[in-house]
Amino acid sequence: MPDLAPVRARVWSLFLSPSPPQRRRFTAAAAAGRVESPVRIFSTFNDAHVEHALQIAAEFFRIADAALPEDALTAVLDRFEALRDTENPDLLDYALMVFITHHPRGAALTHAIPPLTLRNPELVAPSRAGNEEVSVRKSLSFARWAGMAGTASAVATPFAGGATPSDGLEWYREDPFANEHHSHWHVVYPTRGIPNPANPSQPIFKDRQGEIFFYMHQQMLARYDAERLALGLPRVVPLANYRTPVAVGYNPGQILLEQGFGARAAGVPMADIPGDPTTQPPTPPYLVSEHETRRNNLRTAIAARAYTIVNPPLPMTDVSRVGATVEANGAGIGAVAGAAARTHYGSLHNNGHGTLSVASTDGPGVMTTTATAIRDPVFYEWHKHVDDFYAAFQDGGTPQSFADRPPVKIRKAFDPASRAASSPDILFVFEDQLPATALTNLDAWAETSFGGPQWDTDFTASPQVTSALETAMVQRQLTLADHITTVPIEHLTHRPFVYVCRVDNPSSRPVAITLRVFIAPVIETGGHLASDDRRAWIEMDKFVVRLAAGEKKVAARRGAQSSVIKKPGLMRPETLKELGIEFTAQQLASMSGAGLPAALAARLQPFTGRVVGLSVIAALFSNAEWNIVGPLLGQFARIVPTEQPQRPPQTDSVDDLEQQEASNYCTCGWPYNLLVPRGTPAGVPFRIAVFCTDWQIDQVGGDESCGSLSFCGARDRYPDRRPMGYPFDAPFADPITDVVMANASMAFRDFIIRRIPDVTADD
Amino acid sequence: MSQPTIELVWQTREPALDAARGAVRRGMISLRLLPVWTEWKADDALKPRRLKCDPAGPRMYVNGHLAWTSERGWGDDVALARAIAELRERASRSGPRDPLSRRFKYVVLPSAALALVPKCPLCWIAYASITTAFGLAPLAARRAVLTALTLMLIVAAGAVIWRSIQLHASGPAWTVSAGTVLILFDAHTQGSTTIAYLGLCTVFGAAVWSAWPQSGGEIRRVARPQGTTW
Repeated sequence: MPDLAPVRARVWSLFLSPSPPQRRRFTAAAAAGRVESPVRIFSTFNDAHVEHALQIAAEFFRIADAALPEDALTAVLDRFEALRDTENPDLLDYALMVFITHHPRGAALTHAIPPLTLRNPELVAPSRAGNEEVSVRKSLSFARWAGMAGTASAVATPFAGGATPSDGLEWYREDPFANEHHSHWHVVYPTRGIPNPANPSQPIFKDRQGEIFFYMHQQMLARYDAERLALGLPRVVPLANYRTPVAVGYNPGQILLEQGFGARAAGVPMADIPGDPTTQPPTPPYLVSEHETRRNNLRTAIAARAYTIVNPPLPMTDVSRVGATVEANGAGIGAVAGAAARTHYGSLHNNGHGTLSVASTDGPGVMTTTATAIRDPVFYEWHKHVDDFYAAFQDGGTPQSFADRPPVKIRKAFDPASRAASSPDILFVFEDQLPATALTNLDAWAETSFGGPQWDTDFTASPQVTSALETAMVQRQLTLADHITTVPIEHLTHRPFVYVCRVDNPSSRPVAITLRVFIAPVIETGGHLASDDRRAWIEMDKFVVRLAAGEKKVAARRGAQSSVIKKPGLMRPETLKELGIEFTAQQLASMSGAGLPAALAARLQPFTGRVVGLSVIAALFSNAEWNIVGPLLGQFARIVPTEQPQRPPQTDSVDDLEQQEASNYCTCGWPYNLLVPRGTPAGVPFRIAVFCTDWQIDQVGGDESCGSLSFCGARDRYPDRRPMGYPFDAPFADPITDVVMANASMAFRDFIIRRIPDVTADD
Repeated sequence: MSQPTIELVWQTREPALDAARGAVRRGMISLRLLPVWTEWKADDALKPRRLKCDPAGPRMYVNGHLAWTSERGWGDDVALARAIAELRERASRSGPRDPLSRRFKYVVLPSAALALVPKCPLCWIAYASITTAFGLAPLAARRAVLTALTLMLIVAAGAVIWRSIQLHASGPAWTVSAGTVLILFDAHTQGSTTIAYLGLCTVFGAAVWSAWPQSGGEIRRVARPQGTTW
């Protein structure tokens, strides 16, 4: 029974090797001709790059399969290290992450991958990092940025990056956890498939991969639109005309510029991707005109609901195939109909990232890679265009009938005068206002508080519940890979809450229902409320509730249990005030060398990578009474683990590896800190809608304690038979309000999202 | 008094719908009721049949009774609140539905019928013949089914005839034979349905007659094994 701890520690260290110097070394070696690998700057949207990375991942699969079980992981890591001198470091990291995520034995290393904030902190550095924080680098980059931008305003604030003109949404686009989510999602769902564990040379695609590509990005757009509306900005306009200058530019900031990324000036349209004559065979250029042709081909196909390039035309019925065709044509029609179809429809989404990334100067734009793409405002414009294909396909389908809805009832009302929706059966309660024992048995507390004789009581004005969710921006310091430089970073958080939903089953048979929870902003946009548009609804949760015949059930669910978020979702805003620095496994080793008792080091080991208060570190070195650290760690152990690695699984047995597979997906999901949109200090009106569907039809399953079922699915099959985003996956026969009112198994109510004053580390 | 069940039935999205919602909401608030109600669209497959729609506009039902239609308009909040209150009061006076008549209809009668029908072995064959004979004509596998039916009828008729011989009573034997002929005639010639039903009733009657306790008849039974029950 080998011990996996050293292997995990090795993986952790390998990923933590500072990337900037590695990138510089590789670039220099490539320039000197010492490297055969054609990949200079790795792009996860470049089909050839991903293909190459997957070949390496497949090699890792084969090595792991060929070695003895106890040696498999070590053999893979040996090969990984051997390739470091000849392969692009980012590409190699991607290949290893694909292996860890998808190979049965790699699963044991899932939690050994440090988060992006530790692995590649430069990539999540804020674009607006001030010059005092990056003074060491200031002299190197001033001329480049000032010369490139060339505008008076840019010169006046030479180190302030972000959108130009600014829209105040950098905090959302540059959220380190959102970027990590996007990056990791593309590891879970590589555009060219994953190596087949049974035959690594043969790529396979995951269940409903194209559909989840569409849906996950559609949800990112819905959330982004909600943030824009809250700031009084219009919803994102799709970048459908490829010749149109992109109105908003983006400068990724000093730190990313130094990593080789370029800034994209405002008013520059997408550009041709130049060819590469050095590759074998030479890569031809990709022209915007070609891009337009493929866009038009896709539009024609979706309008006709048939792949017209195939003879006879192949009916377009599978949304997943449409998604895969639009994304990269890996699992799309190209996989079925061959090269002609692949060329005809192309790899529209991926190449869009390419044509926009080359529109930057002094290096590829952040759109070039998944770890940084969502920082750029044009990401959302581009993806809105991609999402239009999804919506067009959906709109061409049959409107929802809801004829298979379960016989349950949730009470609600609608005031046509104020357009306000209300329901006494949908309630919010802040976690900190629950009795101490409630969290251990939430259902019992909910039943006692809101069920039984109080079933008909309207609690909406009760102090027990809240009609406003609260969020806050938290500021802290991000330590860069040199472990010296720190830059201020901010991210959203919210006050943890619990949903309560009362559901009545008047029928004479027991029913199991899937409760689907969505929210949308109730803000006027384009002449109508955003909540009247099915594409504006944000999925918040999806879970199963079982009701006996005639039962009136009070279901309760913590926001942290949401099916869309990465697990575990724990965060306490009051403790976030005390965030200080991070300490890594290496730092822990240093502390041990400096005299930290071995027993204490062992206790600290599970917390490496977590954000720990300065007071804790100070206590470690200044107080002779080491035992005070224990209680402190108990306090801090619950801090923002969404960004931090989880404690590795307890079992170290190779025999148990198969059981650990499921935990792989715990690393996938929307970040908990962004679960609730930010709102404004004055409060932004939102509407929450609850839809009950028959679980016997849905069969939503899976391990709910694990990752995001909604955005990442499960290992083999997506755990919901209905289309993703149901019921907003298809048009409604009537306005959404009327549909909800006319279906007893649905309900909605309005509430507010209010942003409380910012929290800083100095508070 | 309990919260009434208020249902609004509408056919199409029309201006009157919002007017109706507003009126219902105001009416419930004026009565200090929780302002919640259920809506049904006319073409909803799950809409209870008791709720009728009206092309002229929405209709409001209170505890299952029609309380308001669009013909009366949706501007008279006082009258609408009164209508809700009256039907709510009537419901509270009359007590809960699911009265004895309903139980008698759906529980007592079927139970009594089941208790009273003869339960002899041949009776079960007759019941099976009757219940499975309905709707045979359109079946695709008609030929096979007809063959099976013929065999089953012959077995059933043979059993009745055998028992008749044992009891020295020829009545059931002749009756079941006649019924069998009628059914087979209808089945093989696709004649009148009436003939088939007549035949079925005849077979059923013969089975009951055959199973009826005979005062003078003697049937030799196999001795009941020790330690077992029937």
